[in-house]
Amino acid sequence: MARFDKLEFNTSGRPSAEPAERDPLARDAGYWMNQADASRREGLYESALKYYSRALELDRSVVAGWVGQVQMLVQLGEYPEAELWSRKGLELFPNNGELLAGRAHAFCRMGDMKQAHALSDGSLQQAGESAYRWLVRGEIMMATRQDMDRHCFDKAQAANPDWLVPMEIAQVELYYRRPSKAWTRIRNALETTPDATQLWYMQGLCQAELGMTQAAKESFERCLELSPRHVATEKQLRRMKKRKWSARRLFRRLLGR
Amino acid sequence: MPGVVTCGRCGANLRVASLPINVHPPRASRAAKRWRRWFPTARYWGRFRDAVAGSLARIRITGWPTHLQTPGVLIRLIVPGWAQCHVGRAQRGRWFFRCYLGLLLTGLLFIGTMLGWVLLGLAVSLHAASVLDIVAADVTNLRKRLIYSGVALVLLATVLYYPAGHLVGLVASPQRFSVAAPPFAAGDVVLVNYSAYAWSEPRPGDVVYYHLSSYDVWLAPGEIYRLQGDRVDRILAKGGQKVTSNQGKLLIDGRPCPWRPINGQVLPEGLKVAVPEGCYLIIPSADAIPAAWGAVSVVPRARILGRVYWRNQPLWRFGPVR
Repeated sequence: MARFDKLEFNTSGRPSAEPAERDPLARDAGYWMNQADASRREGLYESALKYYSRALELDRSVVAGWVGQVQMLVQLGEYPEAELWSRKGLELFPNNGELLAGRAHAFCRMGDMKQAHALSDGSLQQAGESAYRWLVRGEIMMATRQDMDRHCFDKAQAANPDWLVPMEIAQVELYYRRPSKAWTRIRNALETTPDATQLWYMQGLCQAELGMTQAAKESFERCLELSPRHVATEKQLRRMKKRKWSARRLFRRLLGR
Repeated sequence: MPGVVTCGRCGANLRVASLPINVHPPRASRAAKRWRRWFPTARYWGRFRDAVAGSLARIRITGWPTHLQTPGVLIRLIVPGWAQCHVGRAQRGRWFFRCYLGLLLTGLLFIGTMLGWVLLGLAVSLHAASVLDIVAADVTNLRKRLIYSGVALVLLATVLYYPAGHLVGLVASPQRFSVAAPPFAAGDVVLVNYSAYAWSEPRPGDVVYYHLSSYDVWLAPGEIYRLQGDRVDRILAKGGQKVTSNQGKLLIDGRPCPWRPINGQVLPEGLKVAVPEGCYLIIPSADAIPAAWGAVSVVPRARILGRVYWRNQPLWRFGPVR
């Protein structure tokens, strides 16, 4: 309709809708990246992985999408796949600091500390700075029982003040069974962002791990107040209600693990 | 610049957006994830390799290319002290080997007794200690060391000692007499070769370890003697031969038998037995029961378990069983 191209309409009176909301066909890579980020903040890593893939279907040059996929694979416990995928990403974006850090992360979880160290060194030598590189560095330090992990995690938080960073650091600390450290980090994050559902959920996990059952229950309930359909929280609460004597728990307590 | 495919600075592909590549990552199946969670072999292998590399870095092997160091040392862990000698700790290696050899040989000398098992257990533990000395030299955490030693013991037991014990047991399995069975006293230990008759048939004159099927002997009203269980005695005749005994002499097909039962004091009087094919005549001479010799002395081939050839205990009667 070329003859209407020059027409002027007064659009100031109504709110401008997002292109993606208007038309499904107009959903670009950025839209799916935002969706992935939102899912990640809610702890829905499977969905986040799908959204990252959709973003890459539309634009394969989004490095953050490749990095996000690797991070989600690590979060989902699929370490060999994460390593393979980061390697593929590095073929397309050689020496990308984030992808190197992702590969180091996968190697670290697989127990190959030598490779993880080398890749982490490589990622930190690349230009720029990011929270993820320092987070991975901190995790490697923690896995190898070196004292520098706290410094690395603080650097990660300084690089990105978003609450997602302390939450993911807390997840790392919980993975290595350091619930008290994780709880401190989550509490600090909650002071600035008390409406983040996932932070309350993480706090509940830390408290449950520390044996503070009542406090954990309260945290999970607060989480459900913010997000009434939070499946993981409901599962945790059900588990706490059903909790009985367990030989496995006793064994873990005895071994201090 | 137009037409350039890769970034001149970082090497990134500038045409990635239009490349026909798969953007869906590979996924682990639920079973694979569960398997990895239950058996995190990759993680433990990585830790083990790092621990070995850390230990080797500390003890510094000289004269070997780096890529050959780890496999070379790991193979030598099979003999206690060998790996230590290989990495330049000859004194320590020799001590490990001497102590191990001492414990092993003494344990084998007393095999079948409690002392023997304890000494053999100590030899295996010393072997595990020699492995730990190499692979966990820089592990100082007590709990970690305990875990490492447990893993080393289990690995040595399953990979080395169980198969070796099984093989040795085929030719020299210790059997201990719990009750006296003349000429053996309670507590005596004999070695049994279970593979002796795998490729050949038992011959008269062999002292064999066999299983006696249950047989009740009525000694008096209300008094029963039950013959059963495993026995050690000599084969006197084979299938198809006729055996008679008269006036303290044993005749096989009418000719004097050169063999006597292992307890030479016992020889049944008036015995007349035609040994069926596939059976052997073995008189259970340790059981001095006057009746039913003919019934209990015919032993099928399948019940002969092995050949007894050596008395291991007590040491003052150490020697071949004849």
